[in-house]
Amino acid sequence: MTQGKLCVLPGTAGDLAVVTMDDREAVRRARAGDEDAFAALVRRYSGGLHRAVARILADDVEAWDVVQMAFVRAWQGLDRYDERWSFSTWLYRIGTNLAIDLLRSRNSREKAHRAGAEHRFRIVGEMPPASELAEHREVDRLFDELVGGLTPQQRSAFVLRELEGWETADVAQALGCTTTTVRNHVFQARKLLREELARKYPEYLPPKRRA
Amino acid sequence: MRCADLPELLDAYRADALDEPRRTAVRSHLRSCERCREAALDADPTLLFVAAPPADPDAARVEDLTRAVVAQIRQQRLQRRLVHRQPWLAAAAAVVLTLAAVVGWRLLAPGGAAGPAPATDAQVAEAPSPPPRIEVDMAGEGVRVYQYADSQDGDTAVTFIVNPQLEL
Repeated sequence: MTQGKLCVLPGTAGDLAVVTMDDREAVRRARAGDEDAFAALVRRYSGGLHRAVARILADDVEAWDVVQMAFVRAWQGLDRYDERWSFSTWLYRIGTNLAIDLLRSRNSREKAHRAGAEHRFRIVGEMPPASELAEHREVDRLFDELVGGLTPQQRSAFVLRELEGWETADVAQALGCTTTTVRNHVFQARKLLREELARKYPEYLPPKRRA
Repeated sequence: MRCADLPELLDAYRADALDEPRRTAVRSHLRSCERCREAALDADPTLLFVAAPPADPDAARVEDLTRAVVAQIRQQRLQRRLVHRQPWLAAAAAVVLTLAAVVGWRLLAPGGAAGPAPATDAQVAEAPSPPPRIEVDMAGEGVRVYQYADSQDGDTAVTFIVNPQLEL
């Protein structure tokens, strides 16, 4: 995550002309007011950021609002961006902080959302075996079901480390904590998810664990 | 990575004791090998979330978001420029935009008691809207503020045009 990635930008001459540049060059151009350069960064990272924020919030729709806000904040703060870190880590830090703030401010609303979501999930009917479930989008919905008992930091650490596959050091940078704290958050998150899975969906546990 | 290597690597994965390349290899293998995935879920059901492949982003939604972000950025840059060069104009623009929002809400509110009675077809034919009047024109800034006055009910609509080339 610490290396810059390539962006494709619209060329200035000819329909087929493209200019490839890494994140740092795109950021430099964006700092100088180049909206196309910033738009290229938005196109590159919004899908991944949305995926992470949606799982942290357990809400796909609200996550798009957070992602939009994160990019606007990033634009406003480009002068403060430290180029020693990757743009994506910095961007995810903004996005996860916004998501964490939102989670803290909506506790009661989220409980209602959880109850409704559980009902919708339950009435779908027969569930495939867990090993097949991994190939379906259903796994996102299952995660959203179970994640309610985790703290915002535990959610964020687990999503970035386990779902997105980030290195621990990058997760620590994004969340503004130490690598040890990240490991603790992930450990606790896995333990709580296991307990919630056993409580709500024992059918997904191996037979020896159901008893 | 071979399937036979998985059990040992899985314990290390769960203990966060693998280096990143081997950790990535375990994740990839779990996503592609159903038999190993079953064995992994036996060991720890939460590995289900690790084994699920990430969903592709919705390309249309990403494009919508990009447009929305760029539009928001342009609006903020314009506001900053107005505040910097013509503070009074920025304040005036804020006032007229607020006024327009209130008037628009009154006109669009279904069955609103405060709203004007709906005009008949004949009334509309007799009273065409007057041409818009330019209230503010910032030469070189690409900014114009128009005011549309309706002679029937006194309501006013205000249009804030950033790029005159987009005018109808």
